[in-house]
Amino acid sequence: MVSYNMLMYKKLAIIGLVIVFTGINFRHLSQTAQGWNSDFIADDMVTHWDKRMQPLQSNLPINTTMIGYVGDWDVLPENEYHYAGEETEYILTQYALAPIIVQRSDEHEWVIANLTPKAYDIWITTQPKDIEIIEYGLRIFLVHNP
Amino acid sequence: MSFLTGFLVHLPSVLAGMLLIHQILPGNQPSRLVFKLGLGAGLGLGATSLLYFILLLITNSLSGYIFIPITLLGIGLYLTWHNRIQNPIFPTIYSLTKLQKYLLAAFCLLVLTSLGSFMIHALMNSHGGFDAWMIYNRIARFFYRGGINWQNAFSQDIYWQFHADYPLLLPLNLAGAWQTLGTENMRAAQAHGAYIFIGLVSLLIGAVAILRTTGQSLLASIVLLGTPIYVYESPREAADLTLAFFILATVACLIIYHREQNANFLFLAGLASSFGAWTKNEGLLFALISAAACFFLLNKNRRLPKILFYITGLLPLILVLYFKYFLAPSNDLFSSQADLLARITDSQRYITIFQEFIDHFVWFGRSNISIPIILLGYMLILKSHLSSKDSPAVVICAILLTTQFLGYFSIYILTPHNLDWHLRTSLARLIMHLYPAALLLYFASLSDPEPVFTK
Repeated sequence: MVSYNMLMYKKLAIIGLVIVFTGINFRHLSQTAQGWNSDFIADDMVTHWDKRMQPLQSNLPINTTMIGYVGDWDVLPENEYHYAGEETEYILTQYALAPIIVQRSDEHEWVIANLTPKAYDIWITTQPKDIEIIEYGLRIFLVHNP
Repeated sequence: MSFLTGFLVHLPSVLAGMLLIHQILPGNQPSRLVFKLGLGAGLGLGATSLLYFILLLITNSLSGYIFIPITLLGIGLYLTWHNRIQNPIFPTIYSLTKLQKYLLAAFCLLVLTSLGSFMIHALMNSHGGFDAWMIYNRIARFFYRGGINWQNAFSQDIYWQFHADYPLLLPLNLAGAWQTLGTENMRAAQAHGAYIFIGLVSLLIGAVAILRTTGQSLLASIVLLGTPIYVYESPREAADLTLAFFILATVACLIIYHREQNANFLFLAGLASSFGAWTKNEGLLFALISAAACFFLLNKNRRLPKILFYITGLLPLILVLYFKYFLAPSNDLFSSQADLLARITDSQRYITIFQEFIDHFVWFGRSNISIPIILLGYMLILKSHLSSKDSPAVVICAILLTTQFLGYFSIYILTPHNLDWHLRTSLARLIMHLYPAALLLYFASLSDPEPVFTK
């Protein structure tokens, strides 16, 4: 009787294992499908950032190997910017502009400034008067230090 | 169209791997063919990447990628044709029991739903996940766009977070695919992930079927496919899935070697662990530990001279070490030794890491249900049924995986970065490296389902 019960438990365990893992897999598919957005096929976040950087890249001299980058995290106090967002945009910029190295510094001939209006107003006061700035919209600027 | 070309560009590497391994490991039983299909996918891609690295070092040019897998495929096809009588490739006929047919049906259903999830993730994230565009695809862009200046990818001026010191299996295969296709086809990276995922599942099925039964192997594959993190990660173009593949391949080859005493399995185990080191830095640690595991296994069998086969398989490590010493910048984890003693002696760090390990382990897999607890319950009911001939290898491989896990624990103790950030952003993926190999040990140790349903 004991061994018969054990056999039944084993059968139920095997069937249960298959059902549970099939269920988990179906649930994952369902959750993934709920997040479906066809707009992302042609224009996900990374592709979008790539496109934003294209006109900027075309304004850089052909043989540029390294440029600078400043964001809100270089200008504002810690509680006034979102670290993860700043980090993501910096990484996206490096990815978009590869093989140009994008360094977190404004001590380069060419610098990308990715600044909110408040940060821009603070940052510009620290810069020399003879810099050239090209604005690309949505907080992105290309700065040339002659 | 880009999906099709993305898959086609890696197909010669995958096929070449399968055909060449078929020459090293003869046999056309379905379980062996599935095992070789899986193993070949990863080893073929790994070999192509390493040979491309040699070509790049010699010629300083990215051209010529596709000739590598085409040449390997040509050799594989020739040998397969030449040896077709004594080593046929078409499977022997094998009839399934009723239970096995049900399990196969469940497996096929999971393959279809996994394909659905894969396609949705892939279509919505053409550049992959965060790590892909921060590390692997970025390095591939440095290569492809940089041309003869490809070594700028390892500049000391690159911010540490981009991990310019990471090994190159993925970036080289991707840059080579782009060079072949003449465009930055992001689907090529996703196809790479898909081939590795198919390889991982096939390898697990084949290995468990060789060691146990068809029913047990299908159960193992159902559990793997039912652990969503794998299908989630495969189109994300990061290297964790690839490393998980090579760890599973190493462990599978070591256990099957112990069962069959065919030294070619040792060679393949060495090759898989060195390709793991070519995939991620964690793979270097694994190559070191798995070499020790191989030593203990052979020493126990009094067959220590056979370790030469394993060492031969480890030869690609020379290239990995060349890359690490002569090209790659220093690793961020070891570049800052300040406060090292303070970190090692801080007991709170140990407690925090231990708690996070437990939490991530219990909730591993991107599921709302605790997968390890389900597997624990199943084990308690089905009970261990490990054959005495396999037990030394299974025990040594379990120690191998535990040591690798402890190695990860030590890295968190030593890390100079913010501990919470480091744990949050990496721990689940580290567990992911070891889970498929742990599943192999788990299903190799439990009672098979067939006898339960025939009584």
